[in-house]
Formats: sequence, structure tokens, C-alpha cells
Amino acid sequence: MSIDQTPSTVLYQVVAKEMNTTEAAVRQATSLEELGIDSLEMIEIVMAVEDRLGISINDRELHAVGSMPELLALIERSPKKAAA
Amino acid sequence: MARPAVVITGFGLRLPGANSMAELLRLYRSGKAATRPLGGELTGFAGGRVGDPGLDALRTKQMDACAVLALAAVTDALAMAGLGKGPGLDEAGVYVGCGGGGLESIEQSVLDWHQRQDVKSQTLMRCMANAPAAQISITWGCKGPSLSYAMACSSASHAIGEAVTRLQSGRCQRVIAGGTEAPLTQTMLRIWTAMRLLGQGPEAVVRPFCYERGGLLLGEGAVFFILETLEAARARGAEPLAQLSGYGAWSDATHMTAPNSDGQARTMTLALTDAGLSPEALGHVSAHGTATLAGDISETKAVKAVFGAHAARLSVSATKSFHGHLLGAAGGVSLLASLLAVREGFVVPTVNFGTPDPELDLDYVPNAAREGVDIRHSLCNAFGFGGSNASLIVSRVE
Repeated sequence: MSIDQTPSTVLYQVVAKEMNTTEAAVRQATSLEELGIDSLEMIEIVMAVEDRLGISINDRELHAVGSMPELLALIERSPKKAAA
Repeated sequence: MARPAVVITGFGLRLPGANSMAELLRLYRSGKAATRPLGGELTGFAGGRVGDPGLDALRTKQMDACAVLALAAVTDALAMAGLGKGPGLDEAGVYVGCGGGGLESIEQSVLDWHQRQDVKSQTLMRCMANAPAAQISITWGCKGPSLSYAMACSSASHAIGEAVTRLQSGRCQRVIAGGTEAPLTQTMLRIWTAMRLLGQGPEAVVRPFCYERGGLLLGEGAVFFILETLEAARARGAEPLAQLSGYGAWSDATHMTAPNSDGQARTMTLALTDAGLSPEALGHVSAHGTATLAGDISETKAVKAVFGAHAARLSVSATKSFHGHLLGAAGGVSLLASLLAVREGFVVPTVNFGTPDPELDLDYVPNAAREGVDIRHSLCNAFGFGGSNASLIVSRVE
């Protein structure tokens, strides 16, 4: 069984789990507000996405994110985490 | 009737990089931060450790590091003020800011329980949030109110401000006030990492107000002041070092962690009003300056909102660049910088300052101290998680 690890799938799954909603609802949402994501929820979401995808998201760029498409775009351009 | 003037007649400190004012001035003049890679179980992190072999003599089974640091600083403060156990302190109050209480002891008790299914009998006395205040009161025989303030990073400033308020009320003549914190534990470092607010890696440094700012480092330490009414100080021939002329306290009532520049501006304005000063009378700001992405922008916006065109003429110092963030004791550290400004004309620099950020356009005194500056009044900011803000104003005694 292959697990779909595309950035969008992972993001939707993580947000749905963190915000206690469905992936369908997350896919339809554009703003962070309509999902109830504030800065503290965002930290949880980003750390989970980083773990799942093995990437490192830049805090300064994260700070400028205001919508789900912007968040997905940031995740897609984020580099792989350097090996520890 | 005018309210009594409140003055500082002594202070003591145990900080990363300095255990006395002479050492603190040496550190600030060096322009080099005192934060270091942490060793032992904390390897992989950086932070601010107090280096004072004399602390060992104060340690007892009943005391967490936060109480030990507090007692050491209080002992020095009382010596400077020329006070000892007896009539001068009998009715003194003890006002202590401490955000977390006995954090090392809490962690150790959890480890003891999981590893040995046993917890030490002194654990409660070490962990209680009011343990430092109680230890000071017991050690020095202070029978006035012994109060503890926990507002995260603004705890010490609130403790000092509330002490000033009590002294001004005429119900008390003398108070020991300050803050202490000992947060360098495995758990705390991971808690702050999980918030994405901690500078990462053993070589991380604190870089407030510049583009490279990337979060804070934790530091341990304590700062305490002896506060008296001017009348009480003069009656015993004590030298007033500076006046605490204003205090503003205000809550954002918006968010647990996000800084709120409107609330911060209101806090500073309340302090100015309390001191009866116009913004143009101020020459220096001892900033909260945590080096987080959002926090430094919010404080800069708030300073500009309060001071208008005069903001460009203020020197803004961020002491956390030297010591790390002492959380519940941080307001005490910032107050030392304000004291240095009005008493010595010494402006503490913001070190590790790299590339200016276009959004941060005040004079942050980058990397090099300034001396011989004529500053009569300094504003000292502390903004706590939970949205609890405190500003104090320190004025030169003319």
C-alpha cells in the first residue's frame, strides 16, 4: 500500500485532524479564519507537516502566510530538512 | 496631598555574565553576549547560565534554584541599601515576580516518580510559586505583605510596579521587589522549541530588532531592588539611586501569545501619565525586545504610536541580547538598564545586531554602548504571554 505523501494531501489531512473537521471542508476553505486557524494552531499544523514531509518551513515566510493556498505554496517550496 | 516619591536605594543581581553592577558594566561595554552553548543534559541548546560559585553556600534541600538566585540578589541589594535584619526590615514587604516557580524541582519530581516511583518530601517547598518570596521573608524577617506575581515575562515589572503603588499608598515604607526565574530545564527548552520561539542549536544567539532575529534563548537569574519612600530613605540617611516615577499596567484581552501593539502603547501611555511626564521628556527605552519576528515589530509600532516624531530621538536597548530571556525576572533586568541610563548616562547596546529590518527603524543602539548621555527619564517595558503588559518609568534624582 502506498501512502499519498503529496504536500497538498498531507496538509489537508493534518489540518483536518488538528481542527477536528473533514478533509473535504479543508479543501474547500480558502482563508485560515474560516477553519479557525490562529497563530497557535498554525504552529501545531506546521510542525506536523514538517515531520510528515521531512521539510523545514521558514518562520519568516510562515509569518506572512494569510490563506490556505499561500500555506500550500510555502510548503511546496520548502527545502528538505538537513540530516541531523 | 501629593503621594510619596518612591526611590531605589539598593539592588542586587545574579545574571548570565554578571553578578554585580561592576561586572554588568564590563559585560555591556564588551559588546559580547553572555549566552552560551548549554552542557550536560541540555547539550544542543544555548542559553544564559549564572556563573557564581557562591550560590552553593546558599543551596538547601528546600530550595529550588529560583529561590537560591533570589536570595543571593536580595542579600546584595540589602547590603547596598545599608539594611540588615532588624527594625529596618521588620515591616518591609516582599514583592516577587516569578513566572514558573520551581521548574527544575517540578521536572525532577516527575523524573523521580517515573524512574523510582518516589518523590522527595521537600518537593512542594521547592516547587511552590511563592517559595522565593517566602524564603526572602523568612531569611530577612520581613513581616509586611509577601506577594508573588506570575504574569510570564512581565512578572518582575508588575511586582515592582505593585510595590511602588503600595509605597505610594502610605501603607508601607520599604519593600524588597524584583524577579527570579530558573527555566533551564529539559522540559522548558522543549516547550519553547515547540512554540517555535527558541533560537535553535548550541551556537544560537539572541538578535533583537534586526533582520536576522530568529527567536529567544532562555536565561536564568534574579534581580532585586530595595524600594523606599523618599522620606524613609532620607530619614535613615540612605542615598536614593533613582526614582520610580511611573507605572502602567494594561491587558490586551485578545490572544494568549500574539503581541498587541495597541495594548503595549496604552501601557506605555499609562506609565507616562502616572509619572506626569510628556513623551518628549523621555530619552531612553529599555525594551522588551525578545527577538521574535512579531514581538519586535509590535513593540516598535507601539513606541512610535506613543512617542510620534520623538521616537526617532530615543535610544532603545534590548538587554535580552546579552543575557537571554529571564522570563519572570526579565523586567528586573530591563530596569537595571533604565537605572544605568538615568544614573550613569550609560546606554546599554543591543548586541548581535546584524542587518537593519526596514520595518524596525528606531535607534536600537546597535552593538556598542554609549556613555555620557544626558537622560533624565527612561521607560522600561515588559509584555507577558497572556497579554499582561507593564511599563515602568525610572527618573534621575535631581
